[in-house]
Amino acid sequence: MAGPLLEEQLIKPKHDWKDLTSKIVKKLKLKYEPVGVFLVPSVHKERYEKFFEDIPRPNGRLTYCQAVETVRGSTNYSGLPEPPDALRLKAEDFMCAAGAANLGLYDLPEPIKNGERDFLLRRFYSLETSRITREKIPRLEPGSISEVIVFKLPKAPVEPQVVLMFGVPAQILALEGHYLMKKGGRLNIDLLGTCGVCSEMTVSPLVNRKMNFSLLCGGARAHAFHDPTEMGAGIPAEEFPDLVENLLNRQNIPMRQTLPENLR
Amino acid sequence: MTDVNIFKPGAEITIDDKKCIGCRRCVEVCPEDVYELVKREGETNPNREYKSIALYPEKCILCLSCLEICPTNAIYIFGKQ
Repeated sequence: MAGPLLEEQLIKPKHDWKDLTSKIVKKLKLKYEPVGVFLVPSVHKERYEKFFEDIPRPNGRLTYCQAVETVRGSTNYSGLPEPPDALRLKAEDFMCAAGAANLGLYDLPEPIKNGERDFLLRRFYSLETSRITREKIPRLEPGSISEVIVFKLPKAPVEPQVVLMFGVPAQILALEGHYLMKKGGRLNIDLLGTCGVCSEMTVSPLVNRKMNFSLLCGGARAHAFHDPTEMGAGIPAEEFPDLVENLLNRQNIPMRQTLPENLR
Repeated sequence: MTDVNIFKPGAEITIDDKKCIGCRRCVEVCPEDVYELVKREGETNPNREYKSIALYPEKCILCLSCLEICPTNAIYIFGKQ
């Protein structure tokens, strides 16, 4: 079923992601390389199976944000002896049901969907505000995705759908400016501070077809991203090459603050 | 949808007995009533009279509320926090 023509169409990266990564990391002085994400659609599950069979699955469960943190090379949560450059996650590999459900692997468990879970955490004024807020968190259709592939962008085994970047606000500012200043306008950010990496950085850019920012979320900061100065941006991958070009060819956005060495 | 994965509840939950202070927060926050507070047998320290146990781990929906709320990081789900 999966022949060379299909591989060419579905899998083969269309851009030189290694080169793009190297340019953006150098320009923005990023501490970590960006992470690419590819969501395997359930309807074509069998077709993709063969293409990704060499990508390791984690040894034990982990959250989506831990998987992202693992492949970017900060902390290895995969349970594998060596930090992997790419990870392949099936529904049963997820430790966080909300993250997996947001990414379309299955439906949200009812107590999360109906707002009860967040309400019990005493975050909301009422069960109703909790339910409405949960309803508005971007998520993909339940069961529409069979696997999630996360990988170091320069080693992309497939054309990514979304690129995740992390940095201090000054670095994200530079990114945002160059994203907007070619086409003009403003960027309305889709933000709550819950489901930061899965929904705000991955699903929102996919669904809304534009860059989105995230301050990450309590879960991501507790389980994976421990540097409190970091925030994230999710960029539709098809916009990434243009963004890098803008960054290199246009006037720098002045950064009046010099980044401390330990944050570079 | 041709192949919908169905979420299956259940988790391996362990509670570090040395860390658990029996504050009851996990009991109150869990939407599936996985946890229960029990008395520590023979405990003479009044601050350690109770502890939490995961009585129904098969009901866990992996919402991770317990991990978020535990003040002493005593709870592990699938060995992780």
